[in-house]
Amino acid sequence: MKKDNNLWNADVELPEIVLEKANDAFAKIQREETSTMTNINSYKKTNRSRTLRKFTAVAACAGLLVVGSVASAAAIRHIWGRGMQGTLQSTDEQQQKLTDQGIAQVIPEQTDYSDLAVTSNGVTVAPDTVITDDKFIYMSFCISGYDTEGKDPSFEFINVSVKDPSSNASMDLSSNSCFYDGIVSDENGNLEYDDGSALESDENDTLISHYTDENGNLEYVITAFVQDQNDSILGKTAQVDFTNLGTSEKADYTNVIDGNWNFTIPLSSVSSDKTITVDKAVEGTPFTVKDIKISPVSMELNYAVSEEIHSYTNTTLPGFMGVVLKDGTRYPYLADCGIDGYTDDTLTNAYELRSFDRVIDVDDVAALLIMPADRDEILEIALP
Amino acid sequence: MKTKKEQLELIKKAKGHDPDAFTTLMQSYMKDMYRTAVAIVMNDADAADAIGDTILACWEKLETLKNNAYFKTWMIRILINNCYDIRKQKERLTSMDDYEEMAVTDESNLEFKELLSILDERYRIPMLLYYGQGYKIKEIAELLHIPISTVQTRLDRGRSKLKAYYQAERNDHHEKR
Repeated sequence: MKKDNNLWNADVELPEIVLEKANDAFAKIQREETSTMTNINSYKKTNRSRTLRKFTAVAACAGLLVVGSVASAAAIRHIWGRGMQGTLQSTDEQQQKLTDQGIAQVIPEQTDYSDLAVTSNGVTVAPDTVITDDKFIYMSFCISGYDTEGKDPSFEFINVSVKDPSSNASMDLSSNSCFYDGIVSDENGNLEYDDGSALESDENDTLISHYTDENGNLEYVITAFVQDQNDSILGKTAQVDFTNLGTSEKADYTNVIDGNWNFTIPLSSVSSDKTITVDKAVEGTPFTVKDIKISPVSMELNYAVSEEIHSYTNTTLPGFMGVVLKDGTRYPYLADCGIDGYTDDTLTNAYELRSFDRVIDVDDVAALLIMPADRDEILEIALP
Repeated sequence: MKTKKEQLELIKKAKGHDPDAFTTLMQSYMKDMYRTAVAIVMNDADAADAIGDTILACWEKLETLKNNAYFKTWMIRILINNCYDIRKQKERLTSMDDYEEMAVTDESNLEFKELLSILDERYRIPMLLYYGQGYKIKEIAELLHIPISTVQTRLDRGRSKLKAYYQAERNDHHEKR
């Protein structure tokens, strides 16, 4: 990939037509600005001053609000680890509820916690928070004893699987994982730091990541999920294996520390799914949402597909994007990783499994937000 | 290349309606804008239109930018939206095959365009933003309004397709010998 990477940012020559259009735009701006300054100079200055004062006042209020939020947050005990709170955003009440229900496990609060930590070549890795539902596991691990020296950290290899303790049958999982960088999405998909502050870039225009906490520790977060719609993770035992630790730059890994950190973690068997019959079409497509199984942390949609699908060249399923709550709050970027597909070759039924980027109170969901494959339009499908 | 401090100074001045500062600022991003635009619209003429529209839009909306350090991402987002608008307009008038073939008449930057043409747009745009522009996966998800997992999947598939393409090229080359 080295050759390809060089080509992606190879120097280009700006074509004449691009330079002409750009210069036309710059000239238009120059003309308009000169005209404005000549004809309405004092009026514009007055308006600009009022705009600036308003912006400053809003910024000051925003500053106060942020300080207030941090102060009150410090007074409330956060149950989940930093990385899990950023990966699966939640209120303190939601964290408390899921932990009390046994859906979330906060490992440091358990006895014999120190037995679960693994140290290899001076680096200690320990499980922190584990959240399980039928199809997805969210796991965070705390890493201490490793100095990133300002670079993006990475494990060389990571493997996640689950085993059925009764039959000893093993099941591979798909997973998305990374070192937690302190960057989260708000409800509109806009990125910000987990303390609510705006993103910052360095002198090379690269986004600054906040990998370490106040103790200099890192966290690694994993979202793992079944590879088959019919599989379940509940009550299984997770096996997580990390190999070697180093740095990563544009997907190229450089090894720093040889090591193996292996974990066997019993998972919750508590089901948190709610099944809702929907029976509503995704407008303009051959897909009808038959039913959904929603948990606080994931969604399963089941579709019926009409025969019309066979006349389509593109048989891609619609994409679940998010939800609308009963109070009108919209989460259009709720959906994260997962799988989708047809149940068999007849193309009469299809499904999608999707994790969330924040905890949802299932009883508060009023509608689904779904995007058809062939157009950039988010459709709202009300739940009965 | 301007330092970060110099860039922020330019943005500050541009926000104060200084057209010279704005022009200098935008010119420093012209090549990045061109690479991104041509990856979506696949021809120089439409890339030029998208860039021109973006320059004007950025000038009009610059006061809405909350964090100056985030300028480039904000600008690229406007550019991507303009590129898709132009494509939608053209798709109503021509078939997709005719549209993408327009690129063959462009004579500049052929090696870069050949790279783009190997991949379907679902893969080439995340690949360009990741490898060409250095955006992180979360940033790409935000720019393209797709889930983070989708970005990861498309990067995986883009890499596999490129690997297969170059492998096939090497095999053809050996056979010809």
